[in-house]
Amino acid sequence: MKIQFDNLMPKPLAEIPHAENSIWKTGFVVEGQDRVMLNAHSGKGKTTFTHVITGIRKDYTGTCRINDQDIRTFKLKDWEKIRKFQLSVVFQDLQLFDKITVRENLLIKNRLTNHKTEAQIKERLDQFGMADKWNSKCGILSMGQQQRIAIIRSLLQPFEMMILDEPFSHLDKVNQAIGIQMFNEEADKNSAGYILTTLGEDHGNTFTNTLFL
Amino acid sequence: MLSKLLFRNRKKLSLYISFIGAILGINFLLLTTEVFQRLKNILEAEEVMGENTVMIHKIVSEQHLIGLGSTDFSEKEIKELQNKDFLTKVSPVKLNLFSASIGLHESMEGTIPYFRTDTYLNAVADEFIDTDRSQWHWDEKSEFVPVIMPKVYMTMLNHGFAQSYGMPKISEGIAKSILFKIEIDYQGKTYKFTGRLVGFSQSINAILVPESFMDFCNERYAIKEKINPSQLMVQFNEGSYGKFADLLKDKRMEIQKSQFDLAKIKSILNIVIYFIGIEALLIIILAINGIMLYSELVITRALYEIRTLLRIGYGINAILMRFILFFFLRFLLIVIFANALVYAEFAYLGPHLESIGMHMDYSISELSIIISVSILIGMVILNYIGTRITLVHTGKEKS
Repeated sequence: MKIQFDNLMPKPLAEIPHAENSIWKTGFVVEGQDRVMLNAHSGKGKTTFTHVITGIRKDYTGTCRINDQDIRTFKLKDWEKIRKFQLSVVFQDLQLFDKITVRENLLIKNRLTNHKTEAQIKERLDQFGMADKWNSKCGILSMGQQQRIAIIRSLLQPFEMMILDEPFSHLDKVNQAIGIQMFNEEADKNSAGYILTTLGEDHGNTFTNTLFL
Repeated sequence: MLSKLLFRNRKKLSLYISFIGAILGINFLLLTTEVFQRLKNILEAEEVMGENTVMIHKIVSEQHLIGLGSTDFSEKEIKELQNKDFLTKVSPVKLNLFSASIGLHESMEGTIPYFRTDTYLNAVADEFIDTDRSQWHWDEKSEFVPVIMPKVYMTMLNHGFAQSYGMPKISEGIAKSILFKIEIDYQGKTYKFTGRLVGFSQSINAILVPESFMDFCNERYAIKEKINPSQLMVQFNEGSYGKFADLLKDKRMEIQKSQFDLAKIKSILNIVIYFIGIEALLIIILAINGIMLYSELVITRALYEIRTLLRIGYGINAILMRFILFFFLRFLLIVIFANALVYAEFAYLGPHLESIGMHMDYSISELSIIISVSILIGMVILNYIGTRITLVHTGKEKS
């Protein structure tokens, strides 16, 4: 998958100063198996960046293209296909369903493509040390635990690119490392890339490129 | 799992209130339909003349007795009536100009007591006869002359003649299997035809034969000159009884008292049923509107869930189907309950109606089934359109 910004500027960010190397001014292209770190301080538009690419926000000037096609031309049907098979996302606000269990949160995503077996999902949960939370309601879990559920959910689909919006903001170093390993493994399996937004942390990973806001 | 997520936040009370409204509205409409059909059947029972069809004649007054004016209808008067927009059919009643008698056919002797009588015959245009057209047909090659008898003849036969002479009573069904001989005397010869009863009428007081038979016999065996008709067969539009009654009064014409009352009752019944039907439809529309609002409320309460499902790859149609299925099952229950209520009402009303001599048919008519299915389809379509619009609106991210 190829993601490209041309002269893209979110309207709420148009009035604030941006660094010379900010993608809001220069644009960027991410494609194939690129593993990109998007580095910025708070308030510079990391979540806006994620929401533009995933079609949630449309209040911007300029153009965002996916596979050379302006995403403004996408219909709901196109987004359904992209979100199901091509673009996987970990939202900063996680977007989990509080009132249903961990099992239901994960299976509701997995049943769209039956990408993993229940055993494989449980194995991922176990890697994060959360096997005992399978039948717990998401709403009663800590933010760190919920973040790990959101990470696992993002891996339950085929994808060409992952958009990871501060996926480790509530995780310790150990769990961050486990998370990075999971992303790399699944990206390798899918021959895919990812863009990971951070506040500047290292995460112990080797990125192919770093972007700035 | 998806349904659990989408319908978790719903408030059930407002839905139940709308459902009760819809059940009562549909029940009201179905009950009106059923009662209307039953009353109509009673009012038109065994009638072979079409609906709203009556025989009219001029009122015989002292003027006529002293030779002033005529009780006949001139061609001009008939034309004038034909031009009335509320009269759909106007046609003279033809009288026999030949000498006719009717009696039991030889082949039937021994089955019922013999009878024979001189009589007069009437014929009206075939379009007035609401019976199987293949039965109501005569030409020179026909084996039988179809005949329609006044219903009052059956009453006279069973409750007068049969009782006086100690004869068994006969039903209308058996009467239809009896063959008659129609004899016409002309220039010293007797011409015989075989008649067969095809139905009864409350609208006429004479033996009716097909117009083609009357014309044939009048042409060949007439012993009198052609005369202007003194009776006309007319059919008026549904619901225009008032105009028709005014016309009768204005032109000093009349119809049989029983026909008069019947037409009046039918007109009043039509108006009442029409208004009740409209009211029932309004109740249904209000109830459906309530359900549609409830559907929107459910979507609003599940806004976060719907948006998140769309963001993680669910399509509008997958979510829409859950809503359609959820409401379809409930709409189906509404229609079933409304029909069941009609049954319950019949069960309650049945004994009361039977006690006043009204036979009660407990089955639900085809028309009610068509109405029920149409309402069900209508509710599903409306709900589909409304839910889809709301979901697409929700799916399109605001910013």
